[in-house]
Amino acid sequence: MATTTTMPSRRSPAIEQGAGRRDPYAVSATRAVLNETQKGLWLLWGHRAVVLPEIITFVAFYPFLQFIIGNGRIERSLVTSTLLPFLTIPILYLAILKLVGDLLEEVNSGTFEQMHLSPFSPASLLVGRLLALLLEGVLIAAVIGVGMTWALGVGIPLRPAGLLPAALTLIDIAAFALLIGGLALALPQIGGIAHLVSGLIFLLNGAFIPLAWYPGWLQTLANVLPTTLGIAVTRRVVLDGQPLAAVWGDGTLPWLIGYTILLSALGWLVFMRNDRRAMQQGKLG
Amino acid sequence: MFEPRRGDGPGTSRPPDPESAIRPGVRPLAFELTALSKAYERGKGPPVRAVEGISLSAPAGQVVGLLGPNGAGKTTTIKMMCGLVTPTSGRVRLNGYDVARQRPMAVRQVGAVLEGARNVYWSLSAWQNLLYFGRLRGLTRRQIAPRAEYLLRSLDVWERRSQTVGGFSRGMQQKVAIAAALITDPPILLLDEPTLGLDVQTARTVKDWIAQLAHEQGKTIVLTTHQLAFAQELCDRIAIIHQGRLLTDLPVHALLARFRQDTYEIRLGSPLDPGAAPWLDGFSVTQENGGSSIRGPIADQDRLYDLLAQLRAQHLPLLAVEPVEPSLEEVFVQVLKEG
Repeated sequence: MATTTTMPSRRSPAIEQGAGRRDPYAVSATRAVLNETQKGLWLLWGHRAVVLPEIITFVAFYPFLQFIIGNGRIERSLVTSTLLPFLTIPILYLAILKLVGDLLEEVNSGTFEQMHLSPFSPASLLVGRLLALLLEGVLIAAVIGVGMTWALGVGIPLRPAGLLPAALTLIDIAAFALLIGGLALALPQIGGIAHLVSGLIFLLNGAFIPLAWYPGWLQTLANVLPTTLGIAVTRRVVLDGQPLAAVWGDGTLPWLIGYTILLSALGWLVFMRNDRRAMQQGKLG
Repeated sequence: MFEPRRGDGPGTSRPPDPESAIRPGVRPLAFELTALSKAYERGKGPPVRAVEGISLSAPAGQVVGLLGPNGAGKTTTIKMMCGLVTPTSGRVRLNGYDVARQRPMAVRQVGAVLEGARNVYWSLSAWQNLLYFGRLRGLTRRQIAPRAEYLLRSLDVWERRSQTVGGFSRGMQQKVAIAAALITDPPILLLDEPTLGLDVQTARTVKDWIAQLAHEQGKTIVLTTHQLAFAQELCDRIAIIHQGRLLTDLPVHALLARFRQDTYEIRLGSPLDPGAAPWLDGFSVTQENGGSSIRGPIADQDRLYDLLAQLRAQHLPLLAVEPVEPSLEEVFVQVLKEG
């Protein structure tokens, strides 16, 4: 299209409106983080033709898995113990695999470099991006949860006390995704590693078969993986009806909180370190 | 017209720094590179020295062309300027802000369109891209909306603002990338190969736009390009780098003048057979409209008089003798040769 462009000789509007006033750093940083979330949701909507089959696959996968494990029928007793862990799987998969995929694509397309022209920390911006992925995962988990409890006649009681361990589990997932995202900036083979780790978590967090069925050493390994501990506490509060004081008193909840803080710090540090390294090596784009 | 901000908005006031203090009558420096070097560590081999000790600065409102062959270090320099690559040594200041020490303020001074990159999200619309990049850099929707409309209208993208950028032509995509870089109205714009892959008309549109940004809006623009005619037309100053080193940094007219005295054109009123004139070795001879012209390097006055004497001896009618303004391309080749 042949066009002749001339720029009108007038002051640019944004400058006049922006003059003389700037929001406090915390406000504009929060806005930038939420901006990432909004962009993530825009991109999801833009890719809805891909997201819809994703939802259908995840929703269909759980009864199919139970059908296989149950030797041709769905065991209600198994559903009770595996449904809750399974709900974390779409959240975990989307957060880790999509984040890594998006990051690598952004490095290739140059938008990751543009993100670094922001005055705000790239790790905090990535948290905003993770929020969008968590929202998508939670939406899928909700569809599976509601669908399965309705279809299979298995109830998951809604206890407000369960929100705390559930939220900590989500933070664990986000922190772990940040860690893997940080590794993606340094390791070219991260795609394979991310799939391997996600698969390992899926096998060991109790979504596949109850954790108690595994040998002791494997249970110990499972407990250092993200989601396992959070699921265990959530299950005790939601399914067994134990009060938060009980899981606090026996040290399970403090351990979960400590684990979450540690994993968050580790994810943040690894991302920041590898991000700085990528800047030193000229590999942001 | 618009002047780079000194007190507010994305390009904010300079930090108190005696080194960058504004003296009366002296235009403040928009950017300042001091002994900038970058060596990339590559496995067990020796580090690759991409940039070595480049010092370069420019006052506000100039278009600076950063030229050099492939692998000269242009892109690394541009990326160090906006903080995307960490220098091994040296310092970058943007509007007085040190990129290493005052990064949040320094990056507010700059917008960048980088080579070989999309720079914007192809899955989002042009409008969504501008909203996103504006907020990413700290603006509110209220500040972004009128600015985005202004930019998209100016670049003839307004009618297609709701369409995804992936469906645009290469030229339209580049326009959106430039608009995104300008959404905060930064005083400094870094353009790495801004016309790469664009057709002639779109390249001219982009060129006109860059000229207006600098000369009417007072923005400082640093651009890299391999299109030397484009650089000659657009730039106020040219910096040529080769193998990471700065070979020259001069205003365009001064750079061209530096090589002007060596080349002359002698026009004659009759045709000239170069085969019959062995003393014209090293000169180009063109025939046109019954006359001819001789063009080539003449190192000094003696050589010029010798040539004229030869022409006189052949009874060739002399029409004119003129020093020839070399093209930037010729100067570029010459500078690299002298390198």
